[in-house]
Amino acid sequence: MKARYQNRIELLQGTLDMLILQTLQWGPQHGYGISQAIRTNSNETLKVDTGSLYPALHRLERQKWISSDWKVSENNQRVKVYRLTAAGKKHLAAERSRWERLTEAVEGILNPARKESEA
Amino acid sequence: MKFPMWRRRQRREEELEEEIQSHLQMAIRDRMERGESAEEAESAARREFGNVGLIRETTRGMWGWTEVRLLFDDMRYGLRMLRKSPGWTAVMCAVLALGIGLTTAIFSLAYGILLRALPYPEPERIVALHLTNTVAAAAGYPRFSVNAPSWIEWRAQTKLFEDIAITRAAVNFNLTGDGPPERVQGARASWNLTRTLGVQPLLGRAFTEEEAHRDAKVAVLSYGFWDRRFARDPAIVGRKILLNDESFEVIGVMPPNFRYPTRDLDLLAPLFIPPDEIRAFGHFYYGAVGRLKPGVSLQQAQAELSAISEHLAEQRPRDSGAGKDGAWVGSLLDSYVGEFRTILYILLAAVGCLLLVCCVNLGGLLIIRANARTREFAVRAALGASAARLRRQTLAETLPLSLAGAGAGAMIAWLLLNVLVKRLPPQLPGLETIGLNAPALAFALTISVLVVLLAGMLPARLASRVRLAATMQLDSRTVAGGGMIRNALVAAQIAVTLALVFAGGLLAASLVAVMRVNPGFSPQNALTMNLPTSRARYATEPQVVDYYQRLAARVKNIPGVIGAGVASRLPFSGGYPGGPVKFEGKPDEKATGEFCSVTPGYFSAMGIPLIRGRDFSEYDKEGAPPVAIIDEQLARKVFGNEDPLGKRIRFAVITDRTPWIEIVGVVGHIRSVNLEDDPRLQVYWPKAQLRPETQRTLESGTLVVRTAGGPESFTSAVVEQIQKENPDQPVYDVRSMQDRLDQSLQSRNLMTGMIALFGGSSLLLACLGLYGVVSYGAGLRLREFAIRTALGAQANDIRRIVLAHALRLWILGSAIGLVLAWVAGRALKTQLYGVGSADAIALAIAPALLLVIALLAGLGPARRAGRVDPAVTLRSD
Repeated sequence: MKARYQNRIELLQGTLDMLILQTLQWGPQHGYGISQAIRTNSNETLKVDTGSLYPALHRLERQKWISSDWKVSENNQRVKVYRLTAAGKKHLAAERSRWERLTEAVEGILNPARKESEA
Repeated sequence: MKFPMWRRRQRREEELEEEIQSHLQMAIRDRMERGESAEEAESAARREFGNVGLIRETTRGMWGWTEVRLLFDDMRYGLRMLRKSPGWTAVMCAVLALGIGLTTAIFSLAYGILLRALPYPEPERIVALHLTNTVAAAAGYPRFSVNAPSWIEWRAQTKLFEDIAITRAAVNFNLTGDGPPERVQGARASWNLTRTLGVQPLLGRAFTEEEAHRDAKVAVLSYGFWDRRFARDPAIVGRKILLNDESFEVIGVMPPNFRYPTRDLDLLAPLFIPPDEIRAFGHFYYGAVGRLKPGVSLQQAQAELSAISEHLAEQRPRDSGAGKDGAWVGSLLDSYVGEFRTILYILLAAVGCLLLVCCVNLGGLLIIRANARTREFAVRAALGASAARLRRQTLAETLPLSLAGAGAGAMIAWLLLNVLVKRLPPQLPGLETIGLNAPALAFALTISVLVVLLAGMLPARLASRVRLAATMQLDSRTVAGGGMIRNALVAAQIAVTLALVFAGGLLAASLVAVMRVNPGFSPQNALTMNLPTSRARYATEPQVVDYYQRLAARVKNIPGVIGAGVASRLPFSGGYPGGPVKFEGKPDEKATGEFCSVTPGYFSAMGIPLIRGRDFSEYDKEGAPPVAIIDEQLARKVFGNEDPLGKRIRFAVITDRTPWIEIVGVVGHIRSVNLEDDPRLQVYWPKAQLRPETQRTLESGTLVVRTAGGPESFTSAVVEQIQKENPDQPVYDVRSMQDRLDQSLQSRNLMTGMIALFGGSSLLLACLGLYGVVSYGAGLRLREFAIRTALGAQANDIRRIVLAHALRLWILGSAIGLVLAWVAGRALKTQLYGVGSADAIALAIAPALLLVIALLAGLGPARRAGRVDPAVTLRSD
């Protein structure tokens, strides 16, 4: 069972939440759509494990950062569509700035030389 | 089942299912659009999606309340499993109920007697006070009752007590008028008693200091007496009642649980202390109780009062060698509970051991059950259940079991308590609070859950350690693990059981030894009763004595009555008064005697043999030469081979200037307090000769009637004769002497019975545990036995293998058990009589009994194993 997941890049705790919120900023989307969007937008690097996606969606909904509706898709199928709430938008902004600080810090550690030359 | 919450959850479940399905459908469609075949697309999409069940479960986990819901689900599942195997369930429930029931019963006793007994605010600050004296201590009186001057001095000088009160218990009041004459259990109390204990009267008021000083005729009733005699008349305050033919005004009623100084208290009257009593420094007959200031220790209080008493002693003229005075301070509760506290601790420890055996037994049963389900757990793990999840499931499954165990245990406790409380020594405090009350039920439930959780821990750990591949391949050809743990659990049961059985053996041997003790009198066919007289009717001692002798003469005339006599005190009815005795011509001889004044005929009525000289006669009265009878042991101790008859003694309680008394007879020695202890020697004098120096009070007299047949059948005839003499004579505490003797054995009987019950239960459990493990082990090795049989082993060889398993467990358990038994024997030391704490016979019998149990438990599985048919067994599977 383990071997199947070994090629995947493990997402940092909380990162998946941010990616979901970011994806929903472009418009309401269903679970499958979110996973596809993350996959395409990351050039197939990030594969969202459905085992993490749905718990995350339900958790975010419970925290009132996203809300859900049932819609009928173009293929005449009932799908559950998630949308970003105002609180979710705020949370996303906070998460983004946190993320940027984090990447900057990690970048600084990984490439100290470049940092100095820029300065 | 259609609660709104339930429906909401169901809709959510359906929506989640639909969401997952739509995800899969979209994924399949995308793949098909990319050119995959429908079949390929579906399997690829499903593979990509992952474990649907697991995803469903983790997603559900985000909804909240999951833990609780899972717990209920697991419990439901557990309930189903229990129902599916009623045999197992019944056995496990019975094991649990036995442990819970016995533990709860003992807990209720200890809780009621030790924690709930004193119904006063801040009971830990209430202490009982006594006087001590080094000479008296050497003579067998480590502490004795308080006298008025000591109390006055203590109260005046103490800085560590909030207050100190004294009472004189067992003051006999004869209540007459308004119904049948009744002897009322009264007490004289200093005016500050209710304040010291911190209790206010329910109705009316307590008496005042002024009332005590003028000896006012007022009384405060106990709740029980108010209820019994006056039907809780709310207008009782202000009413007059006739006590000892004097009119007393009722001024108050105490609350229901007020029971100081005695449990059977009926009323309190003010304690008046005559001035000459204070000057005399005698009359040591008050019970004293004090309330310590917060934070004061018993030692500090004792040191303070001792210093005051010592100082007081220096101020008065005393004989040389009078000893050093002091004070003793101890908790009031202990003064009630006394020895029984040790017995309670022993019972608690023993029942704790039994509970341990139950717990271990249950653990063994659960392990065997869990082993049978290893494959189920492996399947669960393969489907994505985590180790923690499996552990939680096994524990939750056992929760219904613990609820059932608590219920059944509570029932057992209730039954046992019904039997037990009646057999407790009646003088114990808090007996009425004992029962299956809320604390007891809470205790039963808590213990039950704890035991099941503890017992379930091992199987749960084993279950979560499932090795998938190995287990899935497991079949009956291989042996499941956990054998070591199973065997260890059974050995532990055997060990603890052995200790319990050993303790039971020691106590039983002690009981037998105590019952063999000759009390020195003959308790069979002796009827006894208390006949208090009132000072108002018989004002002087000679009148009282004359009255008693008339009563005895009347009773002697009843057909079937062999003899009758009156004594100031009966053996086996509480503390015996006594004091120092001196001997003429032997100034160095110090002896402490028990004092008893008797009428002629008492010795033959009580069955005490007259060894030398003569009994008292009607001519030994006031004015005639003073005479005494001493017991055989005192005669031998003091006079050796000399003839004690004609020698003279005197009582030296207060001063040395008391009259000499001639010894006219020697009687057999008796055990006067109980069968185990033999603290003192006896001195008797005729009731008709007053010995004021011994401070006997005249109110009490006890009648002994020796009868030709069963003593109880003479009760009505005796009472009839008494009432012919005096219709207002209260008669109480009518019991055969045998009954008094039996009552002195009550605590020991109870303890021995309970330990025997625990030992027996433990034996049963150990037998069950052994049987379970041996037969399970034999079941696992059936294939091996079949092969052995096929290769030529005889049925006996197979049987021997199985029995050897049982015997190995017995040897291991007994080895540990003997060590535990040694410890148990040491712990019981103070309760043993006539046997050593490491009695060889008991040490041999206990393991032997367990050997029988081991053989019995091994026999069934061994016989079944011996019947193994290789043709059938090897072809199965």
